[in-house]
Amino acid sequence: MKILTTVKRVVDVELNIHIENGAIVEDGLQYVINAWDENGVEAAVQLKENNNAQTTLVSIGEQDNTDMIRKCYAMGIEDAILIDDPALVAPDAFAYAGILQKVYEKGDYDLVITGKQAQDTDSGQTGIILAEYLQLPCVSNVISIEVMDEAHIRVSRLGDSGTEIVEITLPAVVTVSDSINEPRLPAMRGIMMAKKKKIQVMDLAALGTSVEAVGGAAPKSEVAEFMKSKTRQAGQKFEGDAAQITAQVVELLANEAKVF
Amino acid sequence: MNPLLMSLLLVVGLAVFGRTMVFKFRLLMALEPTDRADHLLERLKNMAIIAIGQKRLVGRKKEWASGVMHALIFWGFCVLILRSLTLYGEGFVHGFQLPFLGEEHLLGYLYVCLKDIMEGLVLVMVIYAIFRRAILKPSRMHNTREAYLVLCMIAVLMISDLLLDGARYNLIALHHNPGALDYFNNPSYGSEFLWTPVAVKAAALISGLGADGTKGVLTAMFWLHIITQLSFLNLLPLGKHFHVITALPNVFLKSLGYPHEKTKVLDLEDEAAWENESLGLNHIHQLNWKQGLDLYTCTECGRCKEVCPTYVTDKPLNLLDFNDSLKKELLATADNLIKRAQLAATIKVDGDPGQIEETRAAMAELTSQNTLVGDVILPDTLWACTTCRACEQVCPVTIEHVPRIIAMRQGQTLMAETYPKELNAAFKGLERNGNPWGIGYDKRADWAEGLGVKRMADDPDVDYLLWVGCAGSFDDRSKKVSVSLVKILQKANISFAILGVEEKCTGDFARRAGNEMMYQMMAQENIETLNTYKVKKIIAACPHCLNTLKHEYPQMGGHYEVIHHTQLIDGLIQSGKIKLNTKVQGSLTYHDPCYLGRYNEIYDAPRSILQSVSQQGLTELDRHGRESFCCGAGGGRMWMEETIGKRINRERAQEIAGQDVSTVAVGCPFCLTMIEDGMKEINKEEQIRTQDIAELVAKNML
Repeated sequence: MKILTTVKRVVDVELNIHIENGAIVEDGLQYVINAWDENGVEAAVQLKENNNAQTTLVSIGEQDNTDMIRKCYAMGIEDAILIDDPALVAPDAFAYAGILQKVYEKGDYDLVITGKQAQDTDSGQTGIILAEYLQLPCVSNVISIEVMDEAHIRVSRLGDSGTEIVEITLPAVVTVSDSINEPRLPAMRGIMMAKKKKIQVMDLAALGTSVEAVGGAAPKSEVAEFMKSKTRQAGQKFEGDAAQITAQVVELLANEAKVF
Repeated sequence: MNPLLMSLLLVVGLAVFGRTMVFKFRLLMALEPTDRADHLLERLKNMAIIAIGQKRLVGRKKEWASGVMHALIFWGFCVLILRSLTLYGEGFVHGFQLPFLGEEHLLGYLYVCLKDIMEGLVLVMVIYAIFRRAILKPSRMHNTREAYLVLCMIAVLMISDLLLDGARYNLIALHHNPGALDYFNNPSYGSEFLWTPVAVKAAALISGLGADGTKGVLTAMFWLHIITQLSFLNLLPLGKHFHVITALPNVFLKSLGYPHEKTKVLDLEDEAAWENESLGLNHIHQLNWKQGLDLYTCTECGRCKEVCPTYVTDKPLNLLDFNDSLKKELLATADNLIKRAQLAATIKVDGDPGQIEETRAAMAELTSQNTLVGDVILPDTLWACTTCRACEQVCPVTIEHVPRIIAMRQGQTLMAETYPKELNAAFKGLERNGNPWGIGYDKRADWAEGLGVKRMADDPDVDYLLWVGCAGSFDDRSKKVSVSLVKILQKANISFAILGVEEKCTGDFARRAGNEMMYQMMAQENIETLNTYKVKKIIAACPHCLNTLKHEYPQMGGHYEVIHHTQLIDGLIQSGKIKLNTKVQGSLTYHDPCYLGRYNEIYDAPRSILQSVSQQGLTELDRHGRESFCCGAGGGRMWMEETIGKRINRERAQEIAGQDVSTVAVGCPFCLTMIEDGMKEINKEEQIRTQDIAELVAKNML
């Protein structure tokens, strides 16, 4: 089984994001692997370990992505492709899916694993659009993958009313939830060994396409403006016994909140 | 007495002993090198105080009786060495005397007197030792037949020599000295017997014997003494009593300058090391010879386990067994180890690569198949350790337990990838945001908002850098300590700044968890930042940070004068820059943090401050100072669940709750968390407040 997994480099959401004039202030930001994609990588590596799958990773971005890719090597990924093309500016989910479609078509993959969404945009569309482009079955929000035979997998997904178990025929696309696994820390030894591993870097031409063809020249959607999210105001702490606290709360509800 | 018999006994006794010793020595030399040939005077001093002076035995109040017992037996042996030499001489030459110890020298009489009294004392001590082992049975003791055998042999040595002298006295005093046998060679009168009360008492026991019977006793006791002594000598290297021979050199060769051998800065760029799996301690041949000598020297006294916070809370780490398991592996693989080392010595850097390859393959064949962690030591045992050093502090023969544990953890974390995965979150946090909580690095200085604290980036021209540490920066409880400390520094007009978002975890916990890669990453970045600002003096609010900055950063090119906040505050109080209201704070006790006390010998400054803040003075805990009990968070344990046995912090909280105090003071953010949590667990957090010393000072400042 050949698996293609995708990773996106996203801003570390542990940090305070500052907005100035409708744009994110880059100063002081750091970038990390998208957490859901990390789950995807872990799922792929587990399939490699348990089911002899071959794993290839693809990432779209600039040379900055190589650190992240090497960590995925250290986690156990065997091959990696970096799509780096200066013509790609602010691609949207359609553009990403368009590029991934080309990557898929160049390899003979059985399964595509993507994170169910990215931490930066939270749009959750790329994997699904890719499946649509490829006319492949797609299951989203997947929490387990089990190989049935060479042509079928059984996945469970978190649905609205509980866990749904779906059997799908390969090739297919799945987008994984963060509850599918606990990603391993890249092996120390792997980190050292990964330094020597090659990353296949391609631009869109090498991929046999162009920025126009994948829809990157005229994105279907665009971020108009970033806005600061509202911070929650600190709550109020009441002290005393139950009767005192009740009296205080009632008094505030009546006089400040005026709910009565 | 009988030169032929004496020669025979000596040749056999010494030849067998020599063979054993040569083997033991070759085995040590087959292990990895370590340099211990420096600072000879300091080493001699250590040996004089710790080994010959028996400091850790006599000086330990809790067990002074057995300490004195052991010391007297040891000192008795030291005194008796000269007597033994005289007896061996007597075997060849009638009336043999060592220079200056004969009848014509006062020294001779003094020695005879000392020897006589020591023999009596040793005999009494041996009886006490047997009584203690058999009847009192202290729980730490590991009772073996070997121990009783050795005690009996010591008793035989004393009794035989006393009876030998007693018989000689009787022959001289009662039977007209038929054989002129006295060792002072005075046929008419054994004048030295005026100096030997114990031997004269022994003589009374056999005074009923006739001249021939007494002569028979003398001869029998002489040979019994010699044979017992030579047997004793040969018995020693076979078991735990090897320490009789190795303790002195082991103490002489102990680590200097830092309580134990510092963790090596591993060369992580060395690809061969990754391929050969030679990073960390994975197989027995990777021990260095001093660590081998430690294994030889363990006396199995069990003090290490008695003071170990993990052993007493029912975790599987029992350092006595830990040592023993390693020793068994060392001895079981000894022949191969020696052969392996011989092969290694033949490899020349510029040798034929094919030949080298072949030699390496042969060496691999000889490497023990047993992995140290897994086959020899169980993982739960290895990971239980909090690196608190209580074991090392109490060990009478200065065995260094912790460096071995850290090196074995390195093997687990770097090579085998079998470290506890619960550490992953903390490692990841360190990697991404420079703190084990994984909170955004840009929030590191949020606690200082509005306090008017300078950043080094704004003004590096300050007297001190205040190293806040991750806990002081991110942990809500510890942030209050940081704020208190800032108030004190500002009140005393100390010129200081913080690094703010440029500070990262020192890497202490990563290093102790064996993640040398993460440690080096943190250390490199911090040293670069510190050196850019030309930082010279650092105030650390966390003993773990202090220890790493002070002792480990110099290994990587970071040299700073580092003090703990309690040292600075104590100075401020002494110099009158900070004045305190002693009437406010009630009764106090103090929990010594391991990395402040045992690692850095800072015991007095915190106590001096506490004396100043409280009118009622300081009540010491039962386990305090050098024998303080760990809170359970050191050595990376802060970031791991404690699922086996009782909880260490709860155990400590109960000890604290046994004191009639209203506050327990600490000087470490980990201790603060652990002790406070322990107090909550036993529902005592209201009665006994857990506070950092800085908080107590800030609260009581006038």
